[in-house]
This record gives sequence, C-alpha cells and structure tokens, in this order.
Amino acid sequence: MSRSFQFSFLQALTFGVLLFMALPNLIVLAISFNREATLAFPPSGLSFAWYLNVFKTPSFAVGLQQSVLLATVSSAISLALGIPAALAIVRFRFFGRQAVNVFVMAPLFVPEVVMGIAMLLWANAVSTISNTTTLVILHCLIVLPYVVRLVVANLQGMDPNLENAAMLLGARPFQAFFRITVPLIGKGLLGATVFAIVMSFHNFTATMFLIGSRPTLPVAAYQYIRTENDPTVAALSTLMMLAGILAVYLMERWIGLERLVR
Amino acid sequence: MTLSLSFKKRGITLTGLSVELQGKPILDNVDLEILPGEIIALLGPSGCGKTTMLRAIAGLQRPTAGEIVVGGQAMNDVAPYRRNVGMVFQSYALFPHMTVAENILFGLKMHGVAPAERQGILEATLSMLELGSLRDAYPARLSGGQQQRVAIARSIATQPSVLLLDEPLSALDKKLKDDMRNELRNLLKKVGMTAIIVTHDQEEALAIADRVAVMENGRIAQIGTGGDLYHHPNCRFVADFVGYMNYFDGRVSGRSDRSVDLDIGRDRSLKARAAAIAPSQDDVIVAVRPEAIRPVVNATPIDREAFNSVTARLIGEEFLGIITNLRFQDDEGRELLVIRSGHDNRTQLRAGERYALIWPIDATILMPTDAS
Amino acid sequence: MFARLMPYTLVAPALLLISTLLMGLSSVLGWSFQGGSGSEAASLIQYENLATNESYRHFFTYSLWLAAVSTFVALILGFPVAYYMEIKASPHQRRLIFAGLLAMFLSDYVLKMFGLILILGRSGLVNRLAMGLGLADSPLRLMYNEFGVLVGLVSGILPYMILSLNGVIARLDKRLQEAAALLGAPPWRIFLLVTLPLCIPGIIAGTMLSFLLSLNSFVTPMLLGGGRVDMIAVLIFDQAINLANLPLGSAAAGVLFLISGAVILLLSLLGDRYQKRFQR
Ligand SMILES: Nc1ncnc2c1ncn2[C@@H]1O[C@H](COP(=O)(O)OP(=O)(O)OP(=O)(O)O)[C@@H](O)[C@H]1O
Ligand SMILES: [Mg+2]
Repeated sequence: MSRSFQFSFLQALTFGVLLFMALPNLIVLAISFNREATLAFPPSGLSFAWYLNVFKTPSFAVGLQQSVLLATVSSAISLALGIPAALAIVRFRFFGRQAVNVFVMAPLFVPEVVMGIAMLLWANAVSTISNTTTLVILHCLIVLPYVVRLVVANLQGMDPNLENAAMLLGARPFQAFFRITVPLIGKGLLGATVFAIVMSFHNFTATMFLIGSRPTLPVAAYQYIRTENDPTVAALSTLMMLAGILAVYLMERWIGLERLVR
Repeated sequence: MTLSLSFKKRGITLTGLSVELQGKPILDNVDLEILPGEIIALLGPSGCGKTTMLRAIAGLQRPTAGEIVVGGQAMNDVAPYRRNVGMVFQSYALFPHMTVAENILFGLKMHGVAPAERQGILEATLSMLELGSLRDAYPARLSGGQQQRVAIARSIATQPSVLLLDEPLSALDKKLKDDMRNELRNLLKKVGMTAIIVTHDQEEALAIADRVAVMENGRIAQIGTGGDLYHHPNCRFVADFVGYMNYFDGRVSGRSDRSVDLDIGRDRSLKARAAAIAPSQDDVIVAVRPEAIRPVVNATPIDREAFNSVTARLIGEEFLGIITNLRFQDDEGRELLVIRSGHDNRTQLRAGERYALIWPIDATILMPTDAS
Repeated sequence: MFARLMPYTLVAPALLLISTLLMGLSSVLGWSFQGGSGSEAASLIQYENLATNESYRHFFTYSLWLAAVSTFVALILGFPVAYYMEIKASPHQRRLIFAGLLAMFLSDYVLKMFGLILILGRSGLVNRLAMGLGLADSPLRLMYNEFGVLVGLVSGILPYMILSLNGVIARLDKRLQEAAALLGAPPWRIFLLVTLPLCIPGIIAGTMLSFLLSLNSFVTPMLLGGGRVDMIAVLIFDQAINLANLPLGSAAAGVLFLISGAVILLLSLLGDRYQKRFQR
C-alpha cells in the first residue's frame, strides 16, 4: 500500500515539475495562434496572421540574418580550431598538455556578463575591428570549449592504432585522418556542429554587450517583447522551438543525447 | 599461389636501441640482428617492452637512442608510411567502416597501385588466406580468427619486406591457435618475409620462429634457436621462462680439459663439460632439466665419468597423462622435480624411499650466479 | 623536430582565440583600476565605491540571495525528477523525459522568459485561473518583483540541475540499494543512508552550475523583474552600456568574476574532500 503511494507521489511530483518546465513553451504555442492582438490566455480564436507577421517584421529579418551568419561562421571557425586542438590533446603527450586542456576550457568559467564586457573592451582597444567580427570572436569563445570536449570524447572512443595501421599501410598523416578518423567520428563531428550552432544562435547576455545596429534574433525578440504587446513573438518562439526540436532530433541520431551531457 | 609484386628480402639490425617513456627506460640498449627472411619470436613477461620494440621498428615510437636499420637503410628519420613495414596489431585495428576487401585494398591504394593490379593482388590475398567468402563483410561481423586473417591479409597485401606481429594469436582459442601458428609460419616462409612475432606463449614461439629472443625488463636476455634456449640458457630468467629447471648452488673445485668438478655442499660433487663455463668464474649455478633426470634404485652401479648423481627421497607423484611429475627431496632439503614419460613404468617407485637421481654430464648446465 | 612541434601547431590557433579573451579580461582589470574623470594613476576608487555605496552593495548581496534560494528550490524540485527518470521510469519514458529536458536545455532563454510572462502577467494564465475560480478579486502581482524573478531563475536552471543529478544517479550501483534492502532497511532509510550520500558529488556539481547561472542571470531580472530587481548582471550592463561608466562596470565585473571563481573553488574543494573520504 504505502509503496504504491510513494511511487505515485514521486510520479506526480515528477510530472508536475516537468509540466512547470514545459508550460511556458506550451502557452507560447497556444498564444501564437491567437486571433486578437493581445497576449491574454486563453486565446480568443484561431489565426495564422502572427506567423506572417514574423516575416514582415524587419528587425526579425535582420536578426535572423545576423544570427545565422554568426552561428555558421563561428561554429565553422570553432570546429576548424577545436578539432586540431582535440587531436593534440588526445593523440599526443606533450609538455603543457594539461595546461592547454584547462586553457581551452577557460571560457566555461567566465560569467557571460564578464565575457561580454571583456570582449567589448577588447574591441575598443583594437579599435579597427567591426562589430560583427567581435561578435564572431565572442561566439567562437563561447562554443569552442563544447566543440573540444565533444571531439575529445569521440576521439577517445577510437582505437589510436587505426590511424597507426593506416600509416603503416602507406597513408600520410592527413590521409589517415580524412580516410579513417573523420569517417569514424563523423557523426560526433556533426553532433558537435549542431550543438555549436544552437549555442551560438541562442546566446543572449554576452551578445547584448556587443550589439551595434544589427541585433541577433534573440536580441530582436527581447526588444520586441519590451516594446510591443502582440503575439508575433509567440509565433517566432514557436518557429524557433520547431528548429530546436529538429536540433535535438539530429543530435540524438548523431551523438546520442546522453553522451552530450555526460 | 604467390603474389606477383617484385619482392626483396630485407634484414633488420638494431644497435643500442633505447626508448624512454616519462623518464622510465622501457627499452634498454637493445642489440638485435635479424637475417633477411628470418622469423624471430619475442618472448617475455608482460610489460617487458615487446610492443614498444615493434612500435619503434615501425616508426610509431621514437627511440631515445640507438639505430634501426632495415635492409641496409637507416630508418630512424623515416616516417612510418615510408618504411614499408607491415604490422598486425594485437587488437587487429581493422577499419570498422570498411569491408574485408576494402581493408585489404587500402594499403594498395595508398601505395598508388593501379586498379587492375590491385584487383589481382586482392584476389590472390583473399584466396591465400581463405577469405573469399567474406570479402564484403564488415569486421564487426567476423569471428576472432577471421579478423586475425584479415589483419594479416591487409598487412601482407602491400608486400612489406618486414612484418611485425603483436600477439596475433592471443585472441584465439587453443585449437585454432595451434592450427593458425602452422599456417602463419608456412605463409611467412612462402612469401619470404622477415618477421618479428610477439608472444607470451613459449610453445607458440618455438613452433613459429627460427630463433627466439627472450626479453626481460627492456633487454634481450638471450636469443637463439629453441634448442639453444632450452639446453643452454645463459641465465636463470631464460631457463625458467622456457620450461622448468632444477638448480644447485655450486663452486668450481677443479678443472680439466674435458670437464669441471663442482662442489655443491656437504662434500658432494657434480661434473659438467668444461665448455659450459667461463674459465674465470668460481661461483656458479648448476642446473638440470627435470626430464634429463632418471631415478634409479640406490645400489645401481653408475659410470661416474658420464653421469652425475644425487640421492633423494620421493615425496610426491602426479600423474598427468602423457607425463608424470615426480617430486624428490635431497639430504639438504632441496626439492627436485623429475619428469618421466607417462608410459615409463619400468621402475616402480615408492613414496618415502630413497633413490639415486642420475643424469648425463652433458645435460648439466652451468650459469652465472644472479649477482653477477 | 617536426613530431615534437606538431601538437603545439595543432593547439596554437585555439590558444590564439582564447588569448583574445585573456586580453579582454585584462582590459576589464585595467579599466576597473581607473579613477574618476581622467586621472591617470591606478586607484581602488571603483571598488571602494562598490563596497561603501549601499545601493551598489545591494546588487551583490541580493543576487547572492536570489541565486541561493533559486538553487535550493531547483535542487528540491529537480531531485525527484532525476531520481524518477533514472530509477523508476521505463526506458521509453526515460528517453522521452531526456529528450524533453534537452529540448528545454537548448530552447531559447529569452523566449522561455517570454512564456513565463504569459503565465505570470496581469492577464496571464495564473491570474485568469485565479480570478475565474474566484480565488482572487483583482490580478495578483506575480512578476516585476522578487517572486517573478525567482520563478524565472528556477525555471532557467532546472534542466541543468536535473541533468547533473541524473548523471550521478545513473552511475549509482543499483546493487547497493538491493543489498541495503536485503539487510532489512526500509525504502526511506535506504534513500537517506545509501542513495543520497552517494549522490552528493552530483548535488555539488548541479548546485555549482545552477548557482553560477542564477548569479550571472541577466535576461530574467530584465524581463521578469522589469529591470527593477537588483542583480549584478543588470548593474554591469547598465554601467557599461547605458551609463557608459566603464570603470565602475569593469570593477563590478571583476568582483563578479572573483565571486564566481570563489564559488567554483569552494564547491570543487568540498566535492573533492567528500570523495576523498571514500578513497584510501
Ligand atoms: N605511453 C607510455 N608512457 C609511459 N609508460 C608506458 C607507455 N606505454 C607503455 N609504457 C610502459 O612501458 C612498458 C612496456 O610496455 P609494452 O607495451 O612494450 O609491454 P609489452 O611487453 O608489450 O607487454 P604486454 O605483454 O603486456 O603487451 C610497460 O611497463 C608500460 O607500462
Ligand atoms: Mg604488448
């Protein structure tokens, strides 16, 4: 008797907490179809007008462009820098390896606001650098630790003798890397790419410090929420949620969700 | 079936080869001369540096000192992919995303062999190792023995003149192991490759190799044919590693042209051939293999010029089928093992009785004491 | 020798990138030592200002308070979820919850806060429900105050807390609980005496992560606090961007950095000490 009560109590608690976490998203979903130009719940009727409005709002268009640009460029750069670094950390034993390991993870330990103001001051000091370039650097800094960590985990799961075997069969180091290592950790790399894109796309706080005339999408949404009072943002949120679900799905397929967080 | 590529036998010479890892000497001044086409087995306990030696020869591990010469060419500064040295890894290291055929073709592609010729070599290799039916299978689907054959096929397809095999048979069960070691030897001899094969298993080493090198703590303790190591081990380590041995601490008490007299305490003495010992040494270890000894009834007359003898009491007997282990204890409390053929029941032995243990002077082995 | 330099060549570009952050951080330090109006000499005046001015000080103490409360609440709410999904849930349920958590984890923070506005606002879900059911006559004030910010913070850190806790619970040796049960312990004692102590490392990790996220939170106080709730990130942003007072903003950032570092150090040491007790 008491056992089944405990069980159902725990279950109820669990689903209560999960509901609490999911509720904001569900409400947004509902409101996005509201007929009226209010954010009141429950919605008064069904309409798709706000979805159209998302695309007609100039700041969202600019934001989307800017966010996509930042996400693609900074994740490409982070991969280009992170993969070799991960290779060095896993495949080589060299003086200062541990220090490098800590150093590459350093951005994880810097609060976002501090990172924001730091890069603002850095850009001021360099002075000739454009806003967008600084943002790219900032996003690379934010994403790099995750990329390195994921690639390191993937490489560690691979028998290093596979590359050695390839080399003894006549493959140059880069051939061994592209013909053996890349295909074997390929899914992991794809997962790392998606993760990098998502992290960059959603960054808000540090990004706020460096926004010039062109906001990113989350910043545009933030500004819209603070000034306007209609469901357009709800429609935008729903679209971004769909993109998020797609990202989760891809990551589940490519790296396995549990591997990502542990 | 032989492969069609032109093939040149190459020997291997290691001079003063040393490897240090994290300040610890792993290989310590190793000298080794391997003739072209010869098969050498590396035998030694875990952690003695066998894998490290193969890795150094393959170019996967930089030596801290010493020279590696293959086929007359100094290899120290040659990258692994230019050494033309094949290696079969202990874990096989088959490329999991490639089929058997693709694994075998990989090296040929890397060497720029023309497609038509590649195909021919692939077929020849597949049939030589009886892998034809598995050509499109992925490694994960193969049994241990099949994976091992693919690993060997892949490493010989490019016709390396030197093949390094790191415990290639360790993953197989006893029966398959026995079959494979003969096949492996025949294959290597047929192609004429110079090979180093690492193993933990002395029987395997003796069966496959022309010569066996016994390693201890990063050094080669002794190298020679199975017979050399068995009948003339140069130290206790080798003697113990290859079979079982009985020991006496001895002191040289007299020398003649043909033999030395050895004092083993309590006025007992043994003889050994003079050639078995360096003339300067006095303290020695006297040793004899258990199957060289024959127990006889105490009163039996013995030719003291041809045989050594000690008296000992039978304290235990284990019948093991082909052989019987007999344990004796001599008057000084030393335990001696005697191994007789299981069919040898000409002498009925009784536990607790004293017998004379006799063995030929020729079978008496002398070794330096451990201290020297 | 080529092989010697190889690893350094491989890590150099990444290190170059990280060095921009280090340069930025040293700029922050440099600015924070600047005095007021154009004086060249380094001074501690900004830090003095932060320490003595009651209203600045409040930003720090109040942020620490909010971070502590929200972390505590998230721990209490998160533990049952992590425990349930690892121990009680069917594999299918587990996967589902996991995917849901990750979706939360990856969903946009700004938009999540927007959803909370729709719930807590004057005409939001809660108020509609309360008034519809006759529980309240006029709309309750659920945001633009401490309560709203706390709800936002908890909602923001819950996924991180649950995933950290889930990590240790997943690694628990289930046989220990069975062993305890065979020794006659009732379920609640097994939980308190066996399960919970083994989860301490995960609790410490989750607490550290959540506390830092809350402490540094910017979006929540801006949207759910209406910019009126004193949190450090808001102070730094206001000073650095809106008021163009870079020295004071930098000093506040410096202090926040120090506090974060201290929290990381303290909790890591705590975790290490706890685990050392088990080891010989
Ligand atoms: N990267 C390394 N750093 C430090 N020491 C190492 C490293 N790799 C191997 N060693 C040490 O070198 C010694 C020899 O290793 P090696 O792999 O050559 O032994 P082995 O004879 O092949 O042993 P086994 O029979 O177990 O395979 C071991 O003591 C091992 O601990
Ligand atoms: Mg080995």
